[in-house]
Amino acid sequence: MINRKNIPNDNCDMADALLPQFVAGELSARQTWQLEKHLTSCRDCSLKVEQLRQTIGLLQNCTKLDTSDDFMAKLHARIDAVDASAEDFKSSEQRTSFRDIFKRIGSVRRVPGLPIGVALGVAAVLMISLIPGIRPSQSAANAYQPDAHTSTVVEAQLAQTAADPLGDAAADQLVVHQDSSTLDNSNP
Amino acid sequence: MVAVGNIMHADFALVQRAKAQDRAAFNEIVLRYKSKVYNYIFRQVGSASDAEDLTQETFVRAYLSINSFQSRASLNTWLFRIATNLCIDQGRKNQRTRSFLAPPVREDEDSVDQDIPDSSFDPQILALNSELGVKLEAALRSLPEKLRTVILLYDVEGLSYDEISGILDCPLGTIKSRIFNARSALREKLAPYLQSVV
Ligand SMILES: [Zn+2]
Repeated sequence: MINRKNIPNDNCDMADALLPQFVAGELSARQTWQLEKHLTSCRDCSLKVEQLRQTIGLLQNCTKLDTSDDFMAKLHARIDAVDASAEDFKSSEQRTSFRDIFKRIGSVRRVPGLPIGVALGVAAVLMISLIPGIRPSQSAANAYQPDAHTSTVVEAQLAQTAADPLGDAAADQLVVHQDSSTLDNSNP
Repeated sequence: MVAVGNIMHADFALVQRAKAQDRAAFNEIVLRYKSKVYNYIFRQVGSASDAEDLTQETFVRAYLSINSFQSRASLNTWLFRIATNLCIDQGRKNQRTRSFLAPPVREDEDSVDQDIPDSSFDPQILALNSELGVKLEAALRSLPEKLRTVILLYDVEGLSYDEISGILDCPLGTIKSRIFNARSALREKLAPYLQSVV
């Protein structure tokens, strides 16, 4: 590793490789001393150190830009649209009668001692009761197919959940280490 | 630390209210962070309209997943994580579009173009006051995406190594070496414009 070697006085390449760590204050005391010795005798490397510091200064003082004046209005419209789609989805869920039936079967089956045959019989009666008055194709469409817009939104939500920023193990790494102290109420 | 603690505490209270469907609290979160997120995204994508759109998308996603936000994390890093993922997706989309038109460009972490491209920037860039500022923006845009992301998060937004490591799911050592590479690359690109005081 280059880091552990001595820096010969005339080796600019080696010094150059260490400059970013030097500027960040991340070299060992020994490496820092050696590099400083090199810098006193090398104008090129000293110039690079100065340029690095200027570059960091520029980055830290980048011009702050602001969002457009109607940013909040546009965002509210977007969030309202998402909320409305979620409402649509909820009401379409209420129409999913087959899902309810299977839920009911599930709860009936959990009653101890009740024969499974009775549960299936109840299910059959429930299913038959749904059929009259509704054409099969329509009923299936109502039960399982939220409109195209809603399913797009739901798909987007599912994709988002899959990429959920804090639903994964990496979330733990986002924890701020001063946790207990930073949440201290007693801070003025 | 006290200041950071207060911000964290205020954020925590806002998040709790936002989780309870309080739109005013969510609004306050947006007002507090929209400029930070916008600046970061703008420097990632280089277009004001794309940046505005992606900043909105960041907050829509935050709104939808606020319940999964763990209060142990900081709101700041959580939002930057959402924004970073959106920028990476956008970059991939743009690359696919470009690859139809031109042969693919290698975006190696290590291979950095020497020159600052003579880019026609978004009008918003013209609002940046100094010539050096404009050169810096162009130099940032010419960095490979991985180097640009870390340097924006570290030097421009002031996040810590740990926070960036969490946002990008990368080991600390990788983050550090990318920051050092990015600074060196930027120094080289900006060298002709920096004043010589040595
Ligand atoms: Zn030298």
